[in-house]
Amino acid sequence: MTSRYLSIDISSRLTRAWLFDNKSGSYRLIEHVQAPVQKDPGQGFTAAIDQVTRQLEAKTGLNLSSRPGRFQIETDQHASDLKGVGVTFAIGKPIRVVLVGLSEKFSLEPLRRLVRFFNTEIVLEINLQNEPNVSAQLEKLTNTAFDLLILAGGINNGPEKALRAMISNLRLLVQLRGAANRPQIVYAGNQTLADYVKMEVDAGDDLHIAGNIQPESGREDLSYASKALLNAIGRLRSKQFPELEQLSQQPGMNLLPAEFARARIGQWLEQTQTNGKGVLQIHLEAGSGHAIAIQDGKRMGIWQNSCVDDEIITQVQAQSDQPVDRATVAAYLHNRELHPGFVPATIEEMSMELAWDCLRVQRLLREMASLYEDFSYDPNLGLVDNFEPVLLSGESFERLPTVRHSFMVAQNGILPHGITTLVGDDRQLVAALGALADFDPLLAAQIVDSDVFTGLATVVNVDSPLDAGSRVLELEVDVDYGERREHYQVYQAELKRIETVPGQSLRVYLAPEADSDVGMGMRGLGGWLNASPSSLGLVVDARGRPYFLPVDDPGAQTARREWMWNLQT
Amino acid sequence: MMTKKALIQTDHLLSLPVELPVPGQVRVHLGQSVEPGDVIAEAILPARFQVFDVINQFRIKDNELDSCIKRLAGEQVQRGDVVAKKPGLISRLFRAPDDGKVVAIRDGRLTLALGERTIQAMTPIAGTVGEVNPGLGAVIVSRGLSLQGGWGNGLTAIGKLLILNKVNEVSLAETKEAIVFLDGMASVADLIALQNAGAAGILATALDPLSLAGLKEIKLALMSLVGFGDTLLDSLSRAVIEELQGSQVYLVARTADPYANLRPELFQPGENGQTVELFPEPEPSLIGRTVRLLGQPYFGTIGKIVGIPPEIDRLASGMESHVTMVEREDETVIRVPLENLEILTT
Repeated sequence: MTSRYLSIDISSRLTRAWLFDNKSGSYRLIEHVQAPVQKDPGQGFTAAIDQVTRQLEAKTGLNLSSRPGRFQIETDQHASDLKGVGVTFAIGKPIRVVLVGLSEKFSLEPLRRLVRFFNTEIVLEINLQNEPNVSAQLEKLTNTAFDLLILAGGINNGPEKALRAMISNLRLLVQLRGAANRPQIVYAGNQTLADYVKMEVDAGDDLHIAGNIQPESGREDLSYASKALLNAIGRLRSKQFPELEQLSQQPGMNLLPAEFARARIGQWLEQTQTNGKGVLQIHLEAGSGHAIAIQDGKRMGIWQNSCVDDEIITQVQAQSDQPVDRATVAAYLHNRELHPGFVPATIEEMSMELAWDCLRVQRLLREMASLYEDFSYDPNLGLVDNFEPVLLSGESFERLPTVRHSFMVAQNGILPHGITTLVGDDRQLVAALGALADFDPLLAAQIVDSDVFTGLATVVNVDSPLDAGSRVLELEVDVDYGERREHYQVYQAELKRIETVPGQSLRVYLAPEADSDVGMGMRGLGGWLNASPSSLGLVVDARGRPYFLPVDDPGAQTARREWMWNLQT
Repeated sequence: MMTKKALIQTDHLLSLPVELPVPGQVRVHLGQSVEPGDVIAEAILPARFQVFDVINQFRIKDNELDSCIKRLAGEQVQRGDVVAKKPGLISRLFRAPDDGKVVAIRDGRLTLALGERTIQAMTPIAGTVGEVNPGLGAVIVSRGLSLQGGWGNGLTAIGKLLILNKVNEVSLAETKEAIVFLDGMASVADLIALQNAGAAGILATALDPLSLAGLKEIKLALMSLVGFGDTLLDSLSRAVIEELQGSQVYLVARTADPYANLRPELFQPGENGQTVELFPEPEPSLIGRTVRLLGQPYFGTIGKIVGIPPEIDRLASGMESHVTMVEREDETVIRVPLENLEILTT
């Protein structure tokens, strides 16, 4: 009996589809295709879904749909056929959110962490302690255009008065807005009031009751609120895009926001790997970026829509490896926003593009660090904790001309700590697998184990207080299965690459100088490292944190070009 | 392969959503003709709310609450009406501070909605109601000539189109209530001068990329045809603008949304006598079409597509892309990625 699963990802510019089956005993990717989303009014993404389905049917000779948007899903689990379809979506404008909490630290901060994971924009925050005037609260709510409101606060069985007053306000707000335009409301506060909220706020399926984000004093648990938020987002997107609603009504369908589906795979990887490190996922599209860090079982994530401001213009100019003036950078970035498909054609445009991508990664991680105490990152000093692997996905990485371009964007943006592996999701599979995990968890596990991701490089990041030019690390590389060893010296401010042979891991002994930390647990401690074969092989980054760069612009640009040159294959 | 629409269209259907920021009542119906300034939707909201905590303010027990509240939920009140009263030797009163309505009595709290505030969504253009969005507004449609732009500040204006070659005291005097076209890269100083002179809207070839903060000071409709950077307008677009000079036009400077194929546009309503096709016409070949180039060093210049090699090409940047062969006005032929050009005419 063969089980087949189809996964479809709908983003602003592209619709992608992947077909999997287990005909050979374990799951494999049969085919994957993509089509641009039609932009003409009236031509939604059903046309694009139909197009990718037809392409898959033509390539595989299978019948997957009976008519556009209607899939032939076999409900008999013992029959051989299409068993389920996962649909992930990253479309639509940011969801406008109002956060209401009892306190800054225990309510609003966790709520920000909760909503910033998704494509949202916080349009209003009400701290019930700072704004106890119930009339003023009500006026703020009625004067703000929003799609979703989340109310939280208090420990279970704790104080109720301020929450009760806000709940009464919500009741009034729902009445004023009417059934057709009422917002989604998520309640994730003191559970003593959960039934009261249900009775008071007569919002039907637009009200989502979740477990308390702070069930007891000092303990934060966003998991239940996250599920309720997911439902609320699903309802909002279905209202905005009725095609999603039609899809969801079919049996055997699983619809998820793409960012949530991606995080599932990260969580699974972190749970199953034995290196004790976290997993970092960076996803870059033309108009947005998403970062997920899974560490000690905890999920952290940030969605950002790209924006061009004075700070980013200054930084792109500073980080470009070509001499470009400020006006050129500003024009490039502003016009790039207007034309997301623009292809950098000149060396200067490529230089600005890479710097911009790198800064988008930095901004994502910087905001994540501002929201999560457990996530330490500084754009100059990089990550403090160990993450391996770092998984890169999205159109912005996919379109770059070579692996070394993707590597430089990620490495310069993240500045990892210790030893890590950069991995590329060239087929953009992560979200697809996340959406199908509900049907059969084996599918995601077996597909990931089948080497669907591309190894970009194993990176050894050297942290040393020595001056530029001082030796910080010595490498002994096993050649010809240990019969011969090659020795390499690595100096401060250097980026060094050692190739790996396809199908053969590289065995390296790291011998750091006394003050150098290479991620083996303490300064000066070395050890053996097995670097799996990858596109770039082993890269030693001893450029310093922050980088050692000449102070003059031409010197800094030359140094950046040399780093890229050192990675040449 | 190419899904871009031409920037100059003589028979274009303009669709402009006119919506309230908060839900209210839609005042128009499908197919209705509307004129600029007509109300499409309005929300009547209380000017303010007042919540009175009867139990705490009167210091009474829960079981005394009912006898203290003198009005029911939903009841209208006049200014000075007694809404709650604590009986006793020294009685205490809560009077309505303004005309309004008791909207809720809950948990010992009495909520009054006071006064009235109306928010209206008015159409800035004439047209027909093509779609109604319940509770929010409608989409107004109109057919006519359109010149699409690259960037808009979200506002809309109507006026006679005036081409201004130089911003000075003499020329500024003519710009009152006009949609003013400035060729080249417009400076913020020129834009502010036009705003102060009473122009209705500004159409610029391009905007200064370093002036985004300054652009926020412009409170009238502003649209850039090409985007940001130093360039002059191409001859085809210029010809359209010269043809429209002196005519009443709409400057729909809406914010561009490239993912929804929404662009700001200069629009002149008017039927061209053609019957609307039942089915969309097939996309014409790209060969021979006039295009405007994006990216340096040819930003804003035009040329004609003379060939489309089937194979993917590698560019100087290292990127790989489908390219077109474009013959520029100086007869040089260059390779341009398909994504880096805009089709000017159908």
